[in-house]
Amino acid sequence: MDRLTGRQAFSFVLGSVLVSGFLLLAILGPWLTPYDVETMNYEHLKELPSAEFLLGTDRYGRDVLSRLILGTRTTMLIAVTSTALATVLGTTLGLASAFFGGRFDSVSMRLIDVLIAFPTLVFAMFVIGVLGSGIVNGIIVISLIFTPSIARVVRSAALGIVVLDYVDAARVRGERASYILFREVMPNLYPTVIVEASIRFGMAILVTSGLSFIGLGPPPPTPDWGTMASEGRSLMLSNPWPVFAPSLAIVLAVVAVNLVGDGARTLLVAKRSRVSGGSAG
Amino acid sequence: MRFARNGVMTAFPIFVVRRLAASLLVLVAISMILMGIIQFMPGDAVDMLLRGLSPDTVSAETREALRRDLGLDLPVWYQYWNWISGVVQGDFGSSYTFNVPVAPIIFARLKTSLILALPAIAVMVTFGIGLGVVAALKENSPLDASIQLMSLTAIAMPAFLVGSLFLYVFAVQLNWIPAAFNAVDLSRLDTLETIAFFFTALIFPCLTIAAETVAHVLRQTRASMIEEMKSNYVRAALLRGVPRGQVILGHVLRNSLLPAITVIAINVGYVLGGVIVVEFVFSYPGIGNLMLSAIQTRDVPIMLGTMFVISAGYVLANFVADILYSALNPRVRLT
Repeated sequence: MDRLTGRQAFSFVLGSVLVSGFLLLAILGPWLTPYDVETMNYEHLKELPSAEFLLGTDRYGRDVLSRLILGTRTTMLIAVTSTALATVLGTTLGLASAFFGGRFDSVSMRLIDVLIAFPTLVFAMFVIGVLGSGIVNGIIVISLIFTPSIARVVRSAALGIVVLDYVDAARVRGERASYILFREVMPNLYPTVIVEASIRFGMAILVTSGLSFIGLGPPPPTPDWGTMASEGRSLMLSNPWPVFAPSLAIVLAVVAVNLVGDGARTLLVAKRSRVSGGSAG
Repeated sequence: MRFARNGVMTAFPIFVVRRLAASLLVLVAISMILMGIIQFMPGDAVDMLLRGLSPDTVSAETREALRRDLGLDLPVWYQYWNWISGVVQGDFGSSYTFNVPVAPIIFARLKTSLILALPAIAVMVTFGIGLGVVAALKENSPLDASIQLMSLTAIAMPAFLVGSLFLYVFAVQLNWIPAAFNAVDLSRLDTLETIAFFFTALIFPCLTIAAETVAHVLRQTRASMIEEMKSNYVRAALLRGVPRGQVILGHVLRNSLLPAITVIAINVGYVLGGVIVVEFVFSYPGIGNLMLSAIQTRDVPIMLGTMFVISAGYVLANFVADILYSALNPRVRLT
């Protein structure tokens, strides 16, 4: 365990507050939006920010702020669920590989080698292209591309644990494999898993908005950050807000998640943090 | 050569051949997975070919004949064999939409994409390592802090935002570059004109692709340089009076480049993903936009072909990285 310096603690707290804020926004979204997100208001097309519409309106006269707030829900739903799913699947696979070893280990690791050999974002596009776009397919694809790398990290961390005496003792006692894995081995791996999940969460936000930006996200009129930014491009000359507002939300969310991740790494893993960390700003 | 701890060093050519064989196996596995995923496509290719025609105008016999023509009545493994034996000979099948062989289209678009991707990779390597070394040598200085801040920003900014900002400033406001790059026919330009066009216009999509990857490489280089500088052998050399520059060039740099090579290989994957997003933003007629339009029209041969070619590029990058790594660090060849 390591303690955070003043600046690191500040970054960690700031990141945590922002992440909680985004998650609250995702949950409470429908009660906070000033306008309906799908109503097209033809008297207020492409308006610049004003007292009435704080972030202006898009080309269909829809309120950008309301769509931004509800878009938080879509983006976070995909990012959180796919990260959680990939973490559970990857951890289970990695643990099992380390514990059972032998043929199970070599087969699953070869499979993982192949899946890692795909360039991530391109592979995600291909799979979405085959399955079709949508929230559920987005979650499936992003968890599919993250599971192999999480499994690999967890496996190598678990390899050092499964050889310890107390694991042997549990085996000799005749405990079931699931008990040994999740009660004896797993508690040692929480730091690794938490740090890994936090890195993936930030990437998931970027991947899901990248996919929706190129038109492979949830179909319209579902509000979503990447789709909003893409739709707003045609207006950029007169009104850049429909592009900038969701883009800034993405940047802010990713920075916040990374700040939390950096803090978690220093607090939980803390081996080389003072050498390689030292985040500026 | 014999080493301590009973390690036997694999000769370099044998190591290369072994890695090459492994890479080819990975490619075969990739092709199988891609064919497997295609089976999950909802609907039937024949329906897509005949879209726009009402179901009554096309008889069941015509549908069956079409399905036979495309080989869709055959079992999956047979379809796979047909496809992969063509791929080996450079034939990726015929497009569902245009009814012409897709291989020439794919390779023409690949060439266009490489005009963006290769310079982006060069920028990533030079600036990633260069800025990383500078930041490490000036650790904790204002220069280091600003490099770090820029790299954190670049990592958090999605490529489409960087690209849109460039377009907003240089196409919309300043009118320096075209707002859509498909308006320019690159195949009509000669080498000199292509180079001129690159530095006046293509540099922006290129930098968009490179931004995030430069940040990844520089963070890794900086971290391993700083760690290496604190190691005992460096302190010993400095205390013995070896000049600092000589220690850095002769020892520190070489050892810190090893982890950078791995990160660079991984980031070639980011470049390939970035190419697609950036081609979309700038309407650049490369392989990424070809794949996107194939996805929209459900043109399976183009989808499979583009995906396979892009994945092969990534496998190649990892292969080169492995070879470079083992050349710089023979310990990985110990068996």
